[in-house]
Amino acid sequence: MKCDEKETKQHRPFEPESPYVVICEGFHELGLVCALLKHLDIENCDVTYPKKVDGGNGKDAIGNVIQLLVGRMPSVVKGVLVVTDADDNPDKAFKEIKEKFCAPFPKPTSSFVIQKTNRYRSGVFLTPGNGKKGALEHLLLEAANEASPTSLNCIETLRNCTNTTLEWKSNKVAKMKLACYIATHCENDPCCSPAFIWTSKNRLFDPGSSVFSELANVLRNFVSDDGAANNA
Amino acid sequence: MIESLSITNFRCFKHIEVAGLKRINLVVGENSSGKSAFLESLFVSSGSLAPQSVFQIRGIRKMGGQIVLPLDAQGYRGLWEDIFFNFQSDKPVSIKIIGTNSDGRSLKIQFVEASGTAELPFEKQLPTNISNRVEQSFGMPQIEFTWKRVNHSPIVAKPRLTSTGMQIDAQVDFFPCVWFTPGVSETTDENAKRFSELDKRGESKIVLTTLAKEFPFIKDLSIDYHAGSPMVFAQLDGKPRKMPIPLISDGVNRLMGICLGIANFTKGMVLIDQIEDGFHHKLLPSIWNSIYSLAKEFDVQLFISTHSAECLSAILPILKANVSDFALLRMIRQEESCEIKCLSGHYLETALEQDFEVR
Repeated sequence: MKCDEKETKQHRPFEPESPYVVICEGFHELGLVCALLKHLDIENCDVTYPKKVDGGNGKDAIGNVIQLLVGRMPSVVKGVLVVTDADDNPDKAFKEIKEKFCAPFPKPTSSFVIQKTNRYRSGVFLTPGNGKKGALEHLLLEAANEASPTSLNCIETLRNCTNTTLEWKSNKVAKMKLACYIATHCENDPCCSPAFIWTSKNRLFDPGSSVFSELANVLRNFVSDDGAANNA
Repeated sequence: MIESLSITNFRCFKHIEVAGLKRINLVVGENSSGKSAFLESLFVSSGSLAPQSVFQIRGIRKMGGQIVLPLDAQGYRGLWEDIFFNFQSDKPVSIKIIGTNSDGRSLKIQFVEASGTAELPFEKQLPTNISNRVEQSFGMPQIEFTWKRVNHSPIVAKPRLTSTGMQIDAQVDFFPCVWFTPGVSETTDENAKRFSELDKRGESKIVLTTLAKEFPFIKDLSIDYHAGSPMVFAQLDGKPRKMPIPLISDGVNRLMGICLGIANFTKGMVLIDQIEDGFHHKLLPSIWNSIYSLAKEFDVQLFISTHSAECLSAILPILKANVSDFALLRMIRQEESCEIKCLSGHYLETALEQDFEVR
């Protein structure tokens, strides 16, 4: 879909119209990528994420979306960038996604690098960023920390006080903290989904923040007309 | 059942090859991508109705059903030229079909030149100031349809146009095939005839069962006369008098026509253009289920086009349970010629689950 606020909320079957497609792991990542594309004035790029009527979705179904794009060939699509979580093992996460790429899209050689051939290009961005374990929520918490460090300290105090999340895994703790941050900073909708924190009414974070510059640079390179190979 | 086919120099197809066809083949694509032309290619290669269908299609495409008999070679050639790719009538149309068990058939359509004092290929309604028409038939083009089937002699037909219709000097019933076009229901006579045939075989109950499943107020079906014409009547729940099916609803009439078509064209092919036409969206999943069951029972292969996302979504339950019986034919309009991509049922299943645009 094109990154328009109204369209982000609208339901319609995904049909690529632009030469570049970003496949996000989920709807929350889609919100961030759309916000960055808009901030960067990038218009030649569509964004989607795997959906399933029943059964699983997310990372496991990213390969399905790539297959669907290949099945539509010939089409306008010339490049695919996957944005997904690094989780506990970034190398493993990259290898799993790499195997899902198939011709005519080149297999990426490493994450955060746009692999370019004469006609097609591919890439993988692992959140929160290069050399880091974690997920989208960790990246968003970095932005939260930049915007309001005291809030995160308070949330950490809450965590210790409630004593219920001390055994939780890192990704779950990050989700909990982000939910607390949104609930205490988003007056328009304290329950709002991380996908919608970028809307004009909510606007929790600045997409121009240096926290997002790594992803912004990869997006810029992904859609650039420079034709250069293997540069990030 | 057709497994693969190739089409050369026909309508919008310069040359295409399609393989991987299944029992249920969904045909999708944007306007002017060749969906109807593809269905037409299947229909014309099936039998001797092919020449008439070329003109029927003009009616379907709202180009007018009437033909003005031509007076010269150019006019005659112009009547048929639109079936050739880019109007290139100097090259033949070729449609080759490979079926299961190596059962193949083909159709070639070309202009041949009449020789000697061959008769004109149309009725001689000539103005008095034009003479020697028979002599002028030297070099006169004549359209020729040649059907071939494995282990059968070729059949050649040269249709002649007369004021009473088209005359064909050959009977070709290669392959049972019926084509349902949007907005055009089968005639009441035709439906009555098919229902009667089915009734004689003791199989008409299946049509009633299918209709009653979608429209529970239908309790029984029979052939009766209405204003002097035979047609299928329905006994409706709580109504004292039977009613002709076309008067009940367009959707009921269309579904009955499709059911009768499938049940009467055993081991054949049913082509349905824009299946969603006339049906309420709530009925679509159940209608897909019924159509699939009938196609299996009567060993019929279906080619079904649609523009409707609702219609495609509705197929998901029956598709998931029988994925190897489905294929998606995606028509693509390219700069020079239309093309077809055949995708598996698994692709379609994933695309529908992922809410991916396939139309």
